Amino acid sequence: MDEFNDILNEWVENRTSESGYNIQQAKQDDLTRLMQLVVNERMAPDVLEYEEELLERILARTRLQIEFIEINSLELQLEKDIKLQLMIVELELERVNYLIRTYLRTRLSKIDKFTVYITKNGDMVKRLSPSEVSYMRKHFEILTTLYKKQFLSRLPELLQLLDDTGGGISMIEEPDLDKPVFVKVVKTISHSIDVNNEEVELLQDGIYVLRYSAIRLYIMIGDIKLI
Amino acid sequence: MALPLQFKTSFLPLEINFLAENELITILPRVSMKSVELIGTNLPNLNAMRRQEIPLWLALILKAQDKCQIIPPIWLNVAYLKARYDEELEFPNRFSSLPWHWLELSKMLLTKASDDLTDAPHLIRSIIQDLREVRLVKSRKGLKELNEAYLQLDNLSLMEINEIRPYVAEVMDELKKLSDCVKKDDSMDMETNDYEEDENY
Amino acid sequence: MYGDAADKLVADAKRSTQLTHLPLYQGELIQNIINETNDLQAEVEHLTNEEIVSQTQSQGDRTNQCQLFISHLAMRRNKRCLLAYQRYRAERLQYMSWLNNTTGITVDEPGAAPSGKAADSLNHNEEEYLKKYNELIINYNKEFNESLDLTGDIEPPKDIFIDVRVLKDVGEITTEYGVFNLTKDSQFFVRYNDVARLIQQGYLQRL
Repeated sequence: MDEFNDILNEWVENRTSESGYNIQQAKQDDLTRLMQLVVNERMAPDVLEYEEELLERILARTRLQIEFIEINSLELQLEKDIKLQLMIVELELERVNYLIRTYLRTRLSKIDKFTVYITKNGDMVKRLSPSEVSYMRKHFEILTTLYKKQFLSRLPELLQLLDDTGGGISMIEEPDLDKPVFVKVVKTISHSIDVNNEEVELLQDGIYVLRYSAIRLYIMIGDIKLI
Repeated sequence: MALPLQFKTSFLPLEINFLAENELITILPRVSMKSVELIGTNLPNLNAMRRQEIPLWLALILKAQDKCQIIPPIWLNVAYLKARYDEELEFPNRFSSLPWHWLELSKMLLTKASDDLTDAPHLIRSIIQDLREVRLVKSRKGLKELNEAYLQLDNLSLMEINEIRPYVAEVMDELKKLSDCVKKDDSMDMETNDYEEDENY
Repeated sequence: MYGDAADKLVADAKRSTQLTHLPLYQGELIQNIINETNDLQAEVEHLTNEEIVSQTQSQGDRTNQCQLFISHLAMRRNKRCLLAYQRYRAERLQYMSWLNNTTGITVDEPGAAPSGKAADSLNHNEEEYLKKYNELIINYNKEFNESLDLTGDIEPPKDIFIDVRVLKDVGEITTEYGVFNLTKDSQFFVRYNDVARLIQQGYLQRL
């Protein structure tokens, strides 16, 4: 009977620790992914795909933490243990907030910069979240109103466009996809890359500076990461 | 602008530090502590004298509250770092292998957990300084080899990369402009030559 | 010379990148540029008419064509300078909004004029823009959790909790972490936000 119990206990323990491990791993993976997203968004010249699912998962967890803080800080005289726990929870919340804040504001900054270009490019609009599309449109509206009222409407008619491409200079600002970026190779790329008529081998763990356009697709699938 | 200008070309050292703080490190708890559920991880039940791996930022908090001792990473001692230094001198054309966040981690541990280190802090600081300098000199020299197509910098750490980032980007752009001009000249020369040939014929 | 006024405008924008406060809106200079541009447009129309007439002759007047070309360029340049100037200022206003630094723009009473340094440097349309942009980011913020404030500093968090020593008796303060009795010479480990004011006022010393 004891033997049977032992086996049963061991089985239960393994099941619990396995699922416990999975949740733990999932949380760490999500956080690592969020950090990589921040790096990617900061270093890439264009606006990348909005990772809605990841953000939602993390935001859901932050809500739980906020609840924890609210419930536990109601008592005026806190036990020392809870105090420390609260402190740790708050600290981590600030850290995650910071990552989300940076991620979103970096995107907004690029969206503002390339508004006209994005609006004319259905593909790029798809990379934005609904809130971002709304922000972009509304901001463009109030900004152009400002220009119009300040001077644009008082200029000759042919100069009143904001997406003017005449006169040899285009007003539409485009992301510079040839920008050189620093990358680290996660998985060796099977064939060498042609960079300016030079063949470059991209080996695992190698650190390179390359033009973004040359390796953009590999970044999307994760074989190469921006650093 | 949603993002101030200084953030647009590279990371602030403070931000790199933040990334480094997420690295896992081993601690030896002094007391037992109940687990805490967090967003990016779970802090497991801590048992006194039972080693546990947790993120550095958390370890530093617990250390500040006297709840644990930090076990220094295997590379943070004079012997290991000196060996890397010797490697730097022996192989002038490449960088020795150091952890991705070696600079940030060593700085934080020297500042906040110096009593847990295996060697005297000032000795570790000294060898770190030497290492940093020799690698900086090497990376500057390497930039001379910069061509406008690509650059390879295996084994540089994030902080070191971030330091040369703006410089590299600018130089590569200038080089590209130059080489684009040269290409245009070349193709123009070719046209002129054809014309001359026709004339002579 | 065409473009001089525009140069001055751009120089002003460049200078303000070094200033903490946005300088006065260059209303007069801008009006000059607008006038110049409209004058150029009149010139262009005149010259174009002349061109049409002169095309009946075999030798087109090179001077005319040159003048036409330059006028077009000058007009476009003026436009770019105006836009550059305004865009730079708009970006500064955006930055102010994100830092929640709209002091001086907030109206104390309905109908009262805005007060403070910042209000003096903006013209009426810019104030409008600032107000609307502020609303825009408040709305954007609403899409996320309450505690997740997207505005403010964008640096990584540090020193959220600090050690302080009490320099002068303060009495009791209540925080999420409990009630602290801040008597002289006592030391506490507290949240920076809870005591930032007291440190500023000299009651507490940060260790």
